[in-house]
Amino acid sequence: MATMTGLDIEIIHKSYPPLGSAPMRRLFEEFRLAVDPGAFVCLLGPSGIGKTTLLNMISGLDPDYSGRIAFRGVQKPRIGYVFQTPRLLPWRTVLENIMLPLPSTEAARRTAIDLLAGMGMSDTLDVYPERLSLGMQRRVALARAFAIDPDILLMDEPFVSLDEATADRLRELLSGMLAQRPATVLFVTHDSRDAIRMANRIIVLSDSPVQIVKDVRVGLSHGERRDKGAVEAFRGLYLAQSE
Amino acid sequence: MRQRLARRPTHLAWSALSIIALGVAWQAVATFSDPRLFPGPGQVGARLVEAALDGALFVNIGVTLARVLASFVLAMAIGTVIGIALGRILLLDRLFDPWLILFLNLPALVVIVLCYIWLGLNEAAAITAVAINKIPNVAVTLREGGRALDRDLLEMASVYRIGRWRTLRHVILPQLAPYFMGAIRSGLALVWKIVLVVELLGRSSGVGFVISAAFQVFDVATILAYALAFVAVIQMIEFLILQPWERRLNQWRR
Repeated sequence: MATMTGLDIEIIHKSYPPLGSAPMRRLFEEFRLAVDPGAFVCLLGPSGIGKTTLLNMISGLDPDYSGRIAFRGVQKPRIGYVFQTPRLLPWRTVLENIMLPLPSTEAARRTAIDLLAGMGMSDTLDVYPERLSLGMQRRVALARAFAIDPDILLMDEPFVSLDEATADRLRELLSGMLAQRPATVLFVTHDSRDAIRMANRIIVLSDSPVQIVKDVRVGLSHGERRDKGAVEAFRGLYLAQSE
Repeated sequence: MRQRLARRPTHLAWSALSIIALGVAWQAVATFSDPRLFPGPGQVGARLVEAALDGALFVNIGVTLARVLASFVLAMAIGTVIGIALGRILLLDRLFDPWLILFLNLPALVVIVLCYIWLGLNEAAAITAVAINKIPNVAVTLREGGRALDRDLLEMASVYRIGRWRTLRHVILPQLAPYFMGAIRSGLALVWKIVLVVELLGRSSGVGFVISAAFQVFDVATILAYALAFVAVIQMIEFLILQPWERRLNQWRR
């Protein structure tokens, strides 16, 4: 069982090496954000402002900043990261991809198979990822993230370049998975509808350097989230002028 | 895949036709030549059977193959480590790139002679000499592979903390497989030729030694018989080991 850790993010300074002769880009300056355990937080903002960089700093991939990111409760939380592209190993089967971060025991293998079955992928266990559609690959990437029983789940636009129906199925799947295996979620998106449907807290960001423009609690019920009218109404009320 | 299989019989037919044409041309030229200096296919074939029957052919080819294998494995192992290190670590690449160029351009003969002088006329010197000739090629090929490693997948491996061994086995080595295959192919072609020179210069067994002995008595039939037999063996390695292996490595591709 995941312990569901909260996060305290404090980034004093983070800049990006300049491209060519462009000046040094300051991405973050005195940026602070506290996330409660078990929260589903959407980071909403236009592309290219540094949302992915923020996830990379949280995951430890990008240690090149001044400030600190503290996890409440655990020293080194298990982090499931669903990247913008699936990042599966094309030379390993679906099941082998899920097994990659797990110990090579029969019990872990069972867990992986059950997990895939629960996501409706029992018949693709031995398929190589490149033979699957993008939607299915995304699903495998999601399964891999859940396989490690994450304390924190980082998701970077996991539903982009999918058709609406496929994206919808994945959203439902994610909600279902989270109900069974709760985790603290940071979900990056530029799509406010996505944010309203999934999150219980939306952080609207603006750029250069990244700042929190709005911090909105989403109190919609499960039914309302699936109702386009309710989502649009919420969007008009809280998020409209920020886009 | 299916397409490739379907094309195979025609491919084989063309190869057979091509080899027959070569044999006919060889026979034609041999008919008008001194049989001692340019023996025909029949004479060479007879010599081949003769050498096979008294066992000398197999012993010498076996000895040479063992040397090829030893130096090849040595060169692949060392060259791979050097190549990946240079491909991944810029500082090392800058430091050692000129060395690599030096060794790439060092004539095989110089390396062989120096190894025999410094290490003595023994097996270790022979194998070391061949390996040193091959290591720079392997390193250069694998350096390209090391540079081309997918950063996205390495990041994934690091976030999911799969550890060094799994990263190597599941993330890095599969990406290097095409470069390995390239190094193995060019390596096999290069190494066996150098092994013959090493044998000619300082060993008293193996195909290279037989050829040097035949050279001293102008026994062209023996030279050709051994050369053809060895080419056949190398082709067998390609067909029976390398190609099936490569198909297995590539089965995940669409």
